[in-house]
Amino acid sequence: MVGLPLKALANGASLSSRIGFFVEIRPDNSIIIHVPKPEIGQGVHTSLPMLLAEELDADFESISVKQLPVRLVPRENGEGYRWLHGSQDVGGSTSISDMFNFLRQAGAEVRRRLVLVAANHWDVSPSDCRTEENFVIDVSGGRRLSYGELAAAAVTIPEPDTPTPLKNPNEFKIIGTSQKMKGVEQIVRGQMEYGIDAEIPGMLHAVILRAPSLSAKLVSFDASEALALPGVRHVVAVEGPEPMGDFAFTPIADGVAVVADSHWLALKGRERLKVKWTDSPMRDVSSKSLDEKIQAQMNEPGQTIRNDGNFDSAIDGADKIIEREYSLPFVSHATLEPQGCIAHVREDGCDIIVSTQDSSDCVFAAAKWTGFTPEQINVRVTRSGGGFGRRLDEDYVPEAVQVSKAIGGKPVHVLWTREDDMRNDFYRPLVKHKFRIGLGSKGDIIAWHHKLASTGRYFRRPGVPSENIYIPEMWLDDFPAQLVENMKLDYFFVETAVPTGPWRAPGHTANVLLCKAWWMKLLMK
Amino acid sequence: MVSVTVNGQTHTFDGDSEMPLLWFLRENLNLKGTKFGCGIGQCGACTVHIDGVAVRSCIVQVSLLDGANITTIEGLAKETALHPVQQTWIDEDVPQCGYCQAGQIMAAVDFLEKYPNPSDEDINENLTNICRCGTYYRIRKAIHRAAKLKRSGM
Ligand code: FES
Ligand code: FES
Repeated sequence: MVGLPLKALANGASLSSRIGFFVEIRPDNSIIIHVPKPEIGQGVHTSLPMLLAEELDADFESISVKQLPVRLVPRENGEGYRWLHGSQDVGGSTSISDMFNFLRQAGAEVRRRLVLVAANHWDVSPSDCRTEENFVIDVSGGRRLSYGELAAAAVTIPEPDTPTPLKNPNEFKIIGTSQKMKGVEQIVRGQMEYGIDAEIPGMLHAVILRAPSLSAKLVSFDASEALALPGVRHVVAVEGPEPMGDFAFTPIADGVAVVADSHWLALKGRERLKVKWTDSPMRDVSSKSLDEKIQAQMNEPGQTIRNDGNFDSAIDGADKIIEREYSLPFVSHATLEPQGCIAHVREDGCDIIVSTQDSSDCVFAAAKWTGFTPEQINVRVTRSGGGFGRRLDEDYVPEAVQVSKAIGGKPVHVLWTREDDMRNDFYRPLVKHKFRIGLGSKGDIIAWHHKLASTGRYFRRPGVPSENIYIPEMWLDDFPAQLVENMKLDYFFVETAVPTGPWRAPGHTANVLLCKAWWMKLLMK
Repeated sequence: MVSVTVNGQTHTFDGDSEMPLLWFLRENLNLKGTKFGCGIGQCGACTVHIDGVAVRSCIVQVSLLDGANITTIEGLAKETALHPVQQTWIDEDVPQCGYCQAGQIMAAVDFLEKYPNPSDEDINENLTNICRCGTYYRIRKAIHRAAKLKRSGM
C-alpha cells in the first residue's frame, strides 16, 4: 500500500465504505453511523453516536444516522438467539450504560484502521500519527489524509487480537458535551419517518375492533355490511390470549380486523361490523368492588419482602404513630403516535416495519405466528412517536402478522386509533399504599412499615412464579431503605384481568414519589 | 368535486364527503408530515394552515374546503430556507420523539402572526397542542426566540 496514490486508496470510487457494523464513511469525508437501538425520543440516535464518534475522533457535525436493521443470530451452543451487534432493545433507561464501552470500542477500532492505512501510505509508524475531526495527521510531516480518502482501504484490515485501547476520559471532546439532536431538521420539515408513515408497495390498511370488555373472546361476526363498502377488501378474526391467560407474543385482545384500501375506509368499515363476544371474567368488577377487595386483602398478612430490625417492638415504643394511605389509578401510556405495525408474510419470510422498543420480541412474535425461524423475519424499526414502556410490548406485531396471513400474505398496515390505544393498554398497575410510621422522642423515624397492594405487572406474563410478582412493584433498596433501622415492606398482589406493564419504571415512579412526599411531610412537621 | 391548493399545488377531490383533511393529506397526497394523534381535535398533531390560519385537520372535511389554500409542514420552508419557527426549533433543540412537533410548529407560526411579541401567558393560553414528551419549556423558549428573529426582519 505504501506510496499508493490517494485515488487508488479511495478506490477511485464514489461509493461509501462500511467499516465494521456501525460506521460508514463517504468519500466526501462525511460519516453515517448505523445506530443499533431504536429512537423513541430518549435521544439515543444522538447520544450513542457520540460514544462512537468520541473514540473515532470524528467531526460530530459531519455525522448523520441511520437505524441498523435488527439482527439476531443463533447462539453458538444451539440454545436460542443472541444479538449480532449488541442489544437492539430499549427500556429501563439503560442504553448508555449498556453501550458505553461497546460503542467506544467500535469507534476506536475504526480509528485504528484508518490510522494504519495512513501510516502505511506515508511509511511512518502509526504512533507518529494523530487524528482530529475526520483526518489522520502525520505528526512530524504535517501531512493530512481525510477519513473519506482512507476508508476504502480500511475496510479489509483484520480485527486485532486484543481490543484497541480506549481514550482516557479526561481526553473526551464529545462525550459530556451538549449536541443537537440528529434528525432534528427532518423533524421540523415534516420529513422524519415514523412507523405510521412507513409503506410497503401494495400495502392494505386495517383497523381492528377489539373485545369491548376485558378478556372477552370473539364468538362470531357478521361482516356483510362492512364488505359492502367499496374499497373494503377483507374482514378477518384476530386471536388474542386466553381469558386471563398469559400475553405470550399474543395480541392484547381478541378482535375483528377490517382491511381496506385506505385507513379511512377501514375505519368506516369497522363501524359497520356486527360482532358477538363472550362475557368478561371482570363483568362484576367495578372500581368500588376492586377497592373493597384490596382493603380486605390488606387487612390480612402480606408477603413480607424486607424486614430490617424489629418493626413491631419499635412501633410499640414510638412516641407518635402516623398512618397514611394513598391510591393511584391505572395509567395509560398514551404515546402520541398510536400503536401500529406493518406486516408482510411472504412465502419464505416475513417483513415487519414497526415503531417499537422491543425489537427482539417483534422478531420472536412474528416467528411464532408465521412458523418461520427468527432468521427469516426481517424487522425494520422506525423512529417511535414516544415509548414510555408501552412499546416494550409487541402485541401489535402478532396482530399485523395474523391479518397479513389471513388475507393471503398481502402486506398490511394495522393502525390503532386513539380510542383503541386508551382502551387497550398494558397500563401502569393500580396501587394502594399504606404507611405506618413511628416517631421517636426527637421526632426521628424509628419504625417504617410500607404496605403496597398492586395489580402487579408481572401477572399474565409467562414464566413468572406468583411469589415473584412483587419484583417490579416494590424495589427492595428504594428510599428509605437502610436509612431507617426498623423497616418492613409488605406486598399484596391484586388479581384483575386488566393488562398491566412497564410505564417508566412503575415501582420507582409510584413508590419513590410517595415515599419522598411522605418524608418531606414528616420533615416539615 | 372540490378543488384545493396544497403547498402551492392544486388537487381535486370528489371522494367520501366525510373524509377528514388529515387523511386526504396523508393517504391521497402522501404528505405524511402531518400527524395523526387523536382524530378528535384534541391533540393538535394534525395542525395545518387553511388560508393562513392554524386548523386541526382531523376534524375538517375536505369536501367543505373548495377553493381553500392549505399549507402543511412540508410547505412551510421556502425552498431550502427554513421558516424562523423551524430554525428556532432546531436552535433550542425542542423535539424529543418529535411526533407532535409538526403540529406545534404550524400552531406556533399562526400564533406569532397574532402575537408578534408574546408573553409566556399568551403562549400558555393560546397554544394547546399536546406534547406527550413534555417539551413545553423549550417550545416557549423557541417561540420567544422566533419572535425576536421575526422582528429582526428575517
Ligand atoms: S389528530 Fe387532530 S387534533 Fe389530534
Ligand atoms: S416531542 Fe414527543 S410528543 Fe412532543
